[in-house]
Amino acid sequence: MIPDKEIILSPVAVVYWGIPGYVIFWVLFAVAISLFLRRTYRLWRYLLLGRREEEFDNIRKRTLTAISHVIGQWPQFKGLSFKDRSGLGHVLMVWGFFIFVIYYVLFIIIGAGFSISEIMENSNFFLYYSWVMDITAPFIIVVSIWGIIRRYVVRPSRLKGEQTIEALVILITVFIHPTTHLFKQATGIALGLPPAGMGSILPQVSSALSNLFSGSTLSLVHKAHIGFFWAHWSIVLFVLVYIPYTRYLHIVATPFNILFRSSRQKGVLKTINLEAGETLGVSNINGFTWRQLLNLYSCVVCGHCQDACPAYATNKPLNPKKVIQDLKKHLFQVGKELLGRRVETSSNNPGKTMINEVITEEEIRDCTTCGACVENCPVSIDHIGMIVELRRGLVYEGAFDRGHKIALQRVAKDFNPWGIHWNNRAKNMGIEEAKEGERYDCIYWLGCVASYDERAKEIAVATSNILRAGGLKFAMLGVKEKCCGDFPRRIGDEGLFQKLAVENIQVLKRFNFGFILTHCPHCFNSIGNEYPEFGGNFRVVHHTQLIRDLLKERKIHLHETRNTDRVIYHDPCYLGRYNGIYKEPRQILKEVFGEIVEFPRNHNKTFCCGAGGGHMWIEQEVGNKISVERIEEAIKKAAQIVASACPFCLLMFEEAMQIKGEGDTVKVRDVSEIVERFLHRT
Amino acid sequence: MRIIVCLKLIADPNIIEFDILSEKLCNIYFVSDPINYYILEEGLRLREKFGGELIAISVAPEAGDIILKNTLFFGANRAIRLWDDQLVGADTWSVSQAIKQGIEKIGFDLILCGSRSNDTGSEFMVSALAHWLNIPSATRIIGLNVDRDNKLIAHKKLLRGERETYCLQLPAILGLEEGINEPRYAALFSKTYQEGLRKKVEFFKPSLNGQNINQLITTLRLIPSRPRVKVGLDISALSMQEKLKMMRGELGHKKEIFEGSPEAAAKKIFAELSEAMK
Repeated sequence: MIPDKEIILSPVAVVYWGIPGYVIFWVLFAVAISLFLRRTYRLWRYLLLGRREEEFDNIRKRTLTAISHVIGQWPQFKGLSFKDRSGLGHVLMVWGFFIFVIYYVLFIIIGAGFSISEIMENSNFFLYYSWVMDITAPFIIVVSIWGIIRRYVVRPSRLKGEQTIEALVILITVFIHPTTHLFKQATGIALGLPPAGMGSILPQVSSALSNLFSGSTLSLVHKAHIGFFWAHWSIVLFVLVYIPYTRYLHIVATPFNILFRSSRQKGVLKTINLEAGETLGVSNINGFTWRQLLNLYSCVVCGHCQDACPAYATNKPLNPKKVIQDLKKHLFQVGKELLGRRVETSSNNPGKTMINEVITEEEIRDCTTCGACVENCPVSIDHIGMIVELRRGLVYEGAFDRGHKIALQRVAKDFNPWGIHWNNRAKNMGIEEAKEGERYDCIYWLGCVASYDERAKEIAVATSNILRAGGLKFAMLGVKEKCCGDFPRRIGDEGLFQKLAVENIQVLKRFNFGFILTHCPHCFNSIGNEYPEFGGNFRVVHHTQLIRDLLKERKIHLHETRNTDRVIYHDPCYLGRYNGIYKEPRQILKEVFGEIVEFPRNHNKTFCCGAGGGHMWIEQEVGNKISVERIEEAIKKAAQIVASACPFCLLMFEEAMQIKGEGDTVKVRDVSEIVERFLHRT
Repeated sequence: MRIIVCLKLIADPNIIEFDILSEKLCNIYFVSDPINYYILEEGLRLREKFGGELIAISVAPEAGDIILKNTLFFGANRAIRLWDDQLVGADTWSVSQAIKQGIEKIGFDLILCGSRSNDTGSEFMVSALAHWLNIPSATRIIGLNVDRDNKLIAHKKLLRGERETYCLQLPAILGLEEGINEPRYAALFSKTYQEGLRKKVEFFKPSLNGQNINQLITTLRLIPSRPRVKVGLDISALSMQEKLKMMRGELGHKKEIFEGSPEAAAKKIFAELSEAMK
């Protein structure tokens, strides 16, 4: 059955109501692209409202990361678990999207648009490509239906409240794309349009679908073909317009967000050059850097951050997803007004303050800076960077939580948050004080907790005993040591942090030592990662690393008869997630007890103890206690000992056990204490 | 209203020592008297209420610039240091004369001092200044507020814990107790700090010629305090666990909240109690 040459004109060649199809095709395209560009230009100008930040290095690494994240979809694979398989759906959708985009450009815009379809489509490449598309399209259809069911019927916790029309429209467009494509292809085959003459190697799905039309008249099929073509084309253009107005925007923004994301190490906050007169913190939207505003564009409202956030899990006001969404909404609200003013920097353009208008003080303060949101975000949004900027804004205005205020006053006066006179630091510890001019293997940095808290002192005593048994020559700084500045910085008091950092570096530089040893992950992070910016390049070792090495090199020995307690290891955020030390403490505990139990949330998915970000010094009045939530996991696992490698976690868990009223049924111990208990002293 | 706050630079009492051989105090490390923060805070609060200006003064050698500068960072309008080299080792009486000159030069509505400093603590300065300036005075003030007619109401703590409330006629001088309020914290490079950076500490030299500035009191000995351990204090030797136990008055016992209607809860409690009585 050879169709009439007149009837089987390509859909763009047909004349509709006196207007040639090409004209309609290109007019629609022009309208859509201009709408897209208009909105994109506006978004670009909003982006430029942010502060300038010219930190851009290591282009090769950045490009590779962007490729692995965007094309390779690495974050989706990383976040894939048996409980949450949605990542797989996203991967299929994205790869399908890439295949479709290439198809649109090659065969629709160039092929159909320039009326060279026959040349383009009579190639082998087109045939193979049709095959690929035919395999891809059903996958996308299945995935989009799965997505709709998941979002609107199953309703997993992280998509709570996200059953919006916008999301539905997006999923429906994802569904319509491949469907209309398949039918367009099928009607084309039924008409014997492009791939005719290729006989048995026609794309399977489309040719199977084309059988549906075998009974119909040619003109009807032709009409259907025209209908599917225009439906397909208009949905493509609709999505093009829809992208910059909705969360679809992440398609455009995320690749750039990942490409331009900060190269700072995890756990290092942005330094403010206070001497040069940079403003402390942010209180209005244009105080953020353009990079942070780009973060807002990238958010897909997937809720991974919300799922991981300890504050949200314990019913506190903070929800990282909401923070980003609120900021984004605020940017679009005030952006136009701010653009009208045409003022360059934020300092002389106060704008509308966001604090308590867009984001409440409680939300800003509830963050424990555990980094779970940043770790879990598939589009590399730095929630903590933004929250800390807002906190700095609060500090700038002089708004403090009572607990934070007292702790900061104490640090400013006595260099420790306990408020005990600095003269009493590390008293009666039994550790030698460092002398100038003498060479030490290591300086044992005690940190404030072990210097003042009686319970945490035991960690220092245990560690020093291990060091002696290992034959190391070590000393502490004693009263010369000051708070490392970790928690003031997280609260937002950048000035105090920088002052402490500079003073500590000056003191440390006076001594001759190989490395700094510390048992506190917060000090470890500050000295190791944040001090280099202020000129303090020291090698910092965590005590779990050292003890592991000592055990490995057989420099310390353990008693042969050891209890077989059921020990569970808690990953401190600042040790694990920020500094990647997961193995060492586990190796030690395995050496001691043979085996260890794991928390349900372990390694980089670890759950905060609730003390980070200055929360050690404020009362968690709203919601449950984070520490209790965590210790309950350990109790469920029937652990006898909760081992940790952070003095803050230790204190929080001991407190949590008391709050639960379980006394000492679960012992909370530092790794060093466990090792010291079985230490064979010669 | 013009408020003057009088601050003091003290030798850190935690580390000061007395050298027996030279019979002199040694290990002197000047710090801001902790009470300064309370005085300043009260002054700032009053200024917020009434408007006007807050001026910090201190009789101190150049080292005192630090605490005065700090008051500027907290938001004081002016800070003035008074000093004359004759004042080295001077007693309270002599210093009060210097302060009087400074205050008279500035002019005032209200003067806030500490009841006693944390080093010598003679409790005499407020009375001496009241004498020189011929104004009403009150010390050991533990609360300051304003009544409906915008009059200043001061609460005084008496020796055995009784409270006395005064209505004060301005101008007046008050001696404040530590703990009267919760001092604020001005972070480095915060808004008030940067405003303070632009101001300078002024200097005023009181003319003490012809006046009697003899050192009438000399220190003979300084015996360090016996370390005390108080339950519940930060310095106590108890561990966090024990402290919590003590504060909650429960040693491993479980708390229970009965839910439901009051009747049902009462029944449950009764059942629990009768169980416990058996």
